[in-house]
Amino acid sequence: MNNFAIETENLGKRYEINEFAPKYGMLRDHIAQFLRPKNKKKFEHDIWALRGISFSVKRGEILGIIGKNGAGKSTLMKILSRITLPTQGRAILRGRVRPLAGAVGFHMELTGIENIYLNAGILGMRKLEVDKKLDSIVEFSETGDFLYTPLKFFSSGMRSRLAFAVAFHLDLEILLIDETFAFSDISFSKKCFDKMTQMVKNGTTVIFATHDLDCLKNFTQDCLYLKQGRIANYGPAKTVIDSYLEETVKI
Amino acid sequence: MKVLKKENSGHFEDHLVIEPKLAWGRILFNEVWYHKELLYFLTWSHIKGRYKQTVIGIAWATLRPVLTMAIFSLLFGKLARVSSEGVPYPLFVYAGLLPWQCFIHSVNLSMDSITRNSDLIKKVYFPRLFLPASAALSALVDFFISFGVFFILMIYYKWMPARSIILLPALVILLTIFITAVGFILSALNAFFRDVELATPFFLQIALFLTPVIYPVSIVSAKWKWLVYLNPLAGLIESFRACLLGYKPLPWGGLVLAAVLILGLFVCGLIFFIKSEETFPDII
Repeated sequence: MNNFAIETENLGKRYEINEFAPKYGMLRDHIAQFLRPKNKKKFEHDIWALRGISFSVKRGEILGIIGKNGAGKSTLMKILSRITLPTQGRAILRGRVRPLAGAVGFHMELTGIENIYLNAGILGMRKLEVDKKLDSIVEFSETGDFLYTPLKFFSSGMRSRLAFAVAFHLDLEILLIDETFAFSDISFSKKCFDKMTQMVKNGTTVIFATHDLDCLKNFTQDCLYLKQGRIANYGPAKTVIDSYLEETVKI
Repeated sequence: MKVLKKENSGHFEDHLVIEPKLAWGRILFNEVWYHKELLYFLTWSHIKGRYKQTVIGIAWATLRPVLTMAIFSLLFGKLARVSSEGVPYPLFVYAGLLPWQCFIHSVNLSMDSITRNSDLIKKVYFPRLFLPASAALSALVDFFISFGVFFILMIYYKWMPARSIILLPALVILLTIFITAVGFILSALNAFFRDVELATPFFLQIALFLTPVIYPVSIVSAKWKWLVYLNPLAGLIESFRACLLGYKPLPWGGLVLAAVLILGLFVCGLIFFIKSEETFPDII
């Protein structure tokens, strides 16, 4: 009946501006808010970081997401990866969703091997699964003998290679990628792209938010162009990217 | 229809609906259960990472309570002559310091567990309650190690353990629930108000004097005992002492009250934490 891996319906995320401004809620402000008469200026300074987002992605397809900084790409990714809840609308995801998060959740004092287990655990992998895939992860990461030393001695490139190696060994149906592998060297980023292409061939669905337009043109079928939180254009990659380029270059 | 049925069965992640409403049941019963190994990974990484690049390493776990015991014995045992109910004061105070320092240690580790991991919280989803829970649980390792010294002290003072010691596991479980509950509450509060991590160390210092660690509850007049026991740690610490040293019957009234308070605190803490969980990425 349904071969869509991802469907969203009128997805929206609203932030109250005073939530942005002091960033840290001060106890004083909260007390003041509490004492203030209600229904007054409640939602005057709202920002819709995302509004009316509806799209669908078929199984085994890649959806590219483009837009200027602050257009809502990351917010959309955050909603899809369940980091933050939408304010309205809904999304249906058929399959296990994992973000390609880069080097997060690592413990600097632990060794590379120990961090593989920790990071894989955070991303929802079981210990037995990691045991089975450890050799393959190690090989993919190309970090060699460093794996037995604390992570603080790794270069930042090595850390992210380790993170990607773990992420690419997850069992998943939907992969969310925010930004590219551009920070690693050419050969490793090519390896990542090859792996991704192979995963897509095997039926993995990918959402790919990036500024690397050439890469999107080559890889994706459809593209979503976000502008100030709304969909500015949505359709075949080539047309959407061309219209995006035309618009941005003009300004 | 057939396909629909297949979609709804099987693993919970096969079909995920994201909506503005927080899916309570899903977090508690599916996510936490599915990620249960993560609690182990995180706790273990805390323990392994804690004493790296230190000279005496895990020995700190015993040194802290031993030094505190020595100072307290001198100040309160020898100089101020605080009653220790007939037990040698060092033994008396150490039995109380065991759960007390476990509590302090756990609070220090867990209260900033959300704010410290903002990077992770903004990038990956996993049940956030594992962050304070793993930090709190990792304090138990130091607690168990410092038990070793207690048994050495018992041998030194030729103090025979009583039969009441079989209740020790129940008390340890109660202590574990308590420190986890406090971890939930403080870490979530600290995400909203950084005042928590500034104020807590100060309040902990005061709490030491309001809790029967350096003195027994018996020096408090009968009229005010209930007030002391409103602090769940009071019932817990008095029970630890009675259980480990066996020189007096367990303060059942205080213990039952402590157990009720602790379980209540745990449920409230859990609800509060899960309710605040979804706003963490936007405020830290």
